[in-house]
Amino acid sequence: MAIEFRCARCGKLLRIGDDAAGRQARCPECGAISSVPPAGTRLSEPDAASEPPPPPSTSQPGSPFASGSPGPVGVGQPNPYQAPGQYGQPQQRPYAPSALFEVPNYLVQAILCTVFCCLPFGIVAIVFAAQVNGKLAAGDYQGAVSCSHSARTWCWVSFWLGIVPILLWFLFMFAAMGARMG
Amino acid sequence: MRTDAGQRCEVYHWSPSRRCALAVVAIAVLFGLVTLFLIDPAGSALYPPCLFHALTGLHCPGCGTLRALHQLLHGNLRTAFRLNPLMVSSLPFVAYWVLSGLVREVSGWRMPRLFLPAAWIWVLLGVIVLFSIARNVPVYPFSLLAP
Repeated sequence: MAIEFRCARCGKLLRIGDDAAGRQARCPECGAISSVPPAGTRLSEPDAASEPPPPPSTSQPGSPFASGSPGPVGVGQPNPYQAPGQYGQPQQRPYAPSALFEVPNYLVQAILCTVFCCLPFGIVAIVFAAQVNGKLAAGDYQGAVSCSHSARTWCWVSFWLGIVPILLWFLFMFAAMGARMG
Repeated sequence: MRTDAGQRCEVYHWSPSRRCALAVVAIAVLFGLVTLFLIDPAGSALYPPCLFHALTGLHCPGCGTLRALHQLLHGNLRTAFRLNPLMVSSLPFVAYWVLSGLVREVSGWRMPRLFLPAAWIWVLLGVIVLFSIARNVPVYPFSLLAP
């Protein structure tokens, strides 16, 4: 999913992932900081029905939306950026979705949890990280996002289960030190 | 005529609350590294015991990480590798991740992201699982992997 909005300064049409709703974004064109509108905001519907979609920038003959893939973002049509099965065929559309939105797989965080937090839950996060990249490669954008969320959750579970006993340990140690001194 | 489909832009991370959180994390990491440099976790009562090891008596894949970090901070790469080869070999990747995150945070410039094919991550997972099993086998070639 994506939010589309216009830069507050230069008016350039910008696109950002849904998780950025309510945060601030920097326009790559002019560098101005704009607030991101709520999720679901879209501006890029074809401005008028009479206008044709933009000509394909690729060398493939015909429309980039040919061969049954959904048309440009519009009313009553599925979002092409969610359409599965497109990643292996970048010629089908002007953009490969993976180039538009990165889906983090939290692999580094998962490995950090596995190696530093001393807990096997980081392994679960690695399993989800692998699924994120696998689903991205297979074109399953929604599945990849869902696995990405799971990977993030398990990283945090591992992190807190690892860090809380450590913090408690130091708390008790300092308490014991204070009791001995006082 | 529709001129563009929207240029992808980035969340602007450099907000005050985020800066504070980053500063706290950076100070905690620095404090931890100085402590690790000064006090060897091997034979010190300062560091908390590993809960997993205390409960099961097993060496998890992260066992020996603190001791290895202490050795690394003193320049003993070989000893560090012996204590936890997994941690030492993952450090360059972690360093790149931290660096690219910081660069992006400060300048907004995105360093190239390393996209591992899923198969590689599954292999990595297999290596980690095999490693954590092997280092618990108390027989000669495997016992080298124990911290």
